[in-house]
Amino acid sequence: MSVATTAASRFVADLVTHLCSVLLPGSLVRSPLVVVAAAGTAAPDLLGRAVPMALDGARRAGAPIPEAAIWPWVGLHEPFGWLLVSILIGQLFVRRDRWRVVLALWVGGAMHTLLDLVQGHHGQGYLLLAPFSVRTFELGWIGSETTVGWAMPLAIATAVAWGARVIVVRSVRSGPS
Amino acid sequence: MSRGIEAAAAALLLALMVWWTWASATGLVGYRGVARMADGSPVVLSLLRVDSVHGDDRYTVASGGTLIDVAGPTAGLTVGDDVTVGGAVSGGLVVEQWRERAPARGHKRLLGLAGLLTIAALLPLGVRRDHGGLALRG
Repeated sequence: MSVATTAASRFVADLVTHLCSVLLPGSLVRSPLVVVAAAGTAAPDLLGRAVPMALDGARRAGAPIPEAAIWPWVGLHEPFGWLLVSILIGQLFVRRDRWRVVLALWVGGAMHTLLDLVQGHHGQGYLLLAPFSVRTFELGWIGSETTVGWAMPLAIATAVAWGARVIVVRSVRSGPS
Repeated sequence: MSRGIEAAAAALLLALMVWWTWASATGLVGYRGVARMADGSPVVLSLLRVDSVHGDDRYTVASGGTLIDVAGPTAGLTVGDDVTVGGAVSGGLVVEQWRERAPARGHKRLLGLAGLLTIAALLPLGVRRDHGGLALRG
């Protein structure tokens, strides 16, 4: 058994593919919650990966940042972390929108975790149950860098889908009255 | 949503971050416990940055501020490379059995930046400021 669990490693997610996983099907849904769900799918990487990487980079550049300041952020990439963060982000919204926003953020977070789980890291998966368990999970269906090749086609497909949506909405609005 | 739920979520989040700090410091998660593992323990160092190269048969990988010494051939290996190393612990260092490069990590980081800019541009399309906080558009 390896003690080296993934939580502190540098599984840099492909954020474009993550966003497309929400925005592409979201082009069929006419709701501002699609954008919120997209933010929800970005949040695990922004908080649990980008922040630690930025702190680590500043530390290596000589900033007086203790290593321990990097660790707590990593937990926000895992489900218990983003579920709680989503609740707190929901508090920033007016009362009537709060639960809808939280649910949309949760949908985005779930999409993120699902896509991450598909990747393989030689058995070094994700700590889905932390802090209750340090068992790691991964499906390992694709390599950790496979989505890099998907990102551009997916981004183009997403842009086309949203372009078509805009055209359809405008044509409906300007149709015969 | 009540103030109670907000306070509970904040308290649980704080507890989670404290737990993660403790778990990382003790090696329960992350790589700080590798050097203390029993000889022969198998280990996978996943997607770590090569921090330094020492001669022909020794290099160091870094996970944040945690440095792990690896015994293995260094030909073609340069500082800054992203690698996954499989091996076994021996005398506090990892004896490499296999190594896999991750040449697309730089592209992934660029895609991360592109994604960050995209979401920053999209958010105002679905969210607006309102009295008492943010509100959904429409």
